[in-house]
Amino acid sequence: MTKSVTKSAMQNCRQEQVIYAVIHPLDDVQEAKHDGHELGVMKLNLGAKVSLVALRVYLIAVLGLTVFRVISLLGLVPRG
Amino acid sequence: MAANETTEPTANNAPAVRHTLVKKRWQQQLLLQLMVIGPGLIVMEADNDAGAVSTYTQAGAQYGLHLLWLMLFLLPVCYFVQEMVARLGIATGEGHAALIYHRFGKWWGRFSLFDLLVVNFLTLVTEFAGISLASQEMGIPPVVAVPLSAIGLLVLVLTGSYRRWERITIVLCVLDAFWLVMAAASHPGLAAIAHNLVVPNPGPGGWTPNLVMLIVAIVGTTIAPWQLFFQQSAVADKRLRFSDLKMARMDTLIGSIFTIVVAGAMICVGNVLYVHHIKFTDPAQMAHELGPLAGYWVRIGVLVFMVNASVLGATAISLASSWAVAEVRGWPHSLQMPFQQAKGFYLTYVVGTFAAAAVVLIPRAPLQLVIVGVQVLSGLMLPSAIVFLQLLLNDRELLGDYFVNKPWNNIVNWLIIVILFALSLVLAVQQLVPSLFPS
Repeated sequence: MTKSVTKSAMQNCRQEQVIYAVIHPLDDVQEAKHDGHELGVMKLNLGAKVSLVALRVYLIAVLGLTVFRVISLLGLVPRG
Repeated sequence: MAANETTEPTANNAPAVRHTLVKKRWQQQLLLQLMVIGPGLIVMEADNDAGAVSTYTQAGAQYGLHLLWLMLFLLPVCYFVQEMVARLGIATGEGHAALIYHRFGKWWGRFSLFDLLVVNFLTLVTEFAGISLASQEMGIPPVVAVPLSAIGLLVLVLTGSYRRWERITIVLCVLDAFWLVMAAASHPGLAAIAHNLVVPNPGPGGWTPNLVMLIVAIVGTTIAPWQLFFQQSAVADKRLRFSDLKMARMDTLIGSIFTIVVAGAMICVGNVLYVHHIKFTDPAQMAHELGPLAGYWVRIGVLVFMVNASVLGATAISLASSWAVAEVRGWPHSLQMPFQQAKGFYLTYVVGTFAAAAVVLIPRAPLQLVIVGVQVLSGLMLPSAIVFLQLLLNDRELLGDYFVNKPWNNIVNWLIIVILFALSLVLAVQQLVPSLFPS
């Protein structure tokens, strides 16, 4: 329904002259989207699993550095 | 353009919707482009915020025009990243935070949301710090300018009309073209600009650690995590249709080119200090120095447009947070809704804006610590947000064949991700363990 409204509005053919109708997205009939909520959690393939593991390692490394920095600022790291 | 607006039913017994009739195909395409333009232009230009003004003018003041090539390099990076966001928003009609929450589970959803909210709040503080700095240099007490700006930011979104907010914000974006006038007044020389745009060179000092860190900061400034969340939510709120994808891509491309051109103009303005061997401290000090060199109006222009940059950044960042919170919590969230219908969404915006403004007005507030916090958290946030973006764009179950990434998309995007990962890590380590980076 949504597609037909948009497409028909775009090219509104009359007998002798083509008239184009332009509709602002906010004025148009809302179209059905690909719903992520209904699908639930994604089934991860190997590439996605590797990416998320790499992300975890990265986050742990940066958080570790943050903790180290805070401890250093508190003067708790012995100086060699 | 011969156009008339009507709400008459269209052909084939379609329901009556407000539409505009035009006679030519090119008129239809142009009008449609003008209707779709907004999220891409705003997200890009809002990224030229207070922090960006400071970073780009510093780059010009310390290295002249020598880093202009970096801006040309960042143009396709900006476009490719934000194009993915626009595509995802059009396909799903959902924000980035909601999709991470739904497709990767609560842990990653909560982590992304928490990190986004913290880094956005700290960035918002820097926007108000920019307003405070510029207004003080113009002789307006921050205690007046900062609350007035906060109230203005609330009025901007509380009208219950997405269109009104978007049109006003687009005007603020376009006003940034004045940076080009100021750049022209600083006489950088077209030949020098052309040379430095296409020939990557570090300048007379060579590749020093300070230069590398400035390059990392420029990349971090040009591609910020909140941009991914903002544009996807804006596209969803504007209800862009599947058929609008081409126009949304053009919107993103126009925004990318405009923001990079304006950023280049900021570098040219900063270049005046480099040419006259004047030390750069901050944009307000730069404006003060520019008065006798480039004209009083350039001094005022820098300050006024620094406020403009801060306001643009503040509204976009606050909205990115509000949309994200409301999407994840399942609250009604649209600029089309009046306050009564979307209280949680608007209250998040109001509380964030006023709290950030209040922090700036605290005497001796640790603003330097805030800036470091923004850089470290951005280093955490950008790689994770962009990895989720890439994984979502390969989610064929969610997007179907039409919207899912093509193989060449993946090659380009993984390359960008690896570069951003490395740069974000360098920036975070530099802030956390500065002793590793001798100056």
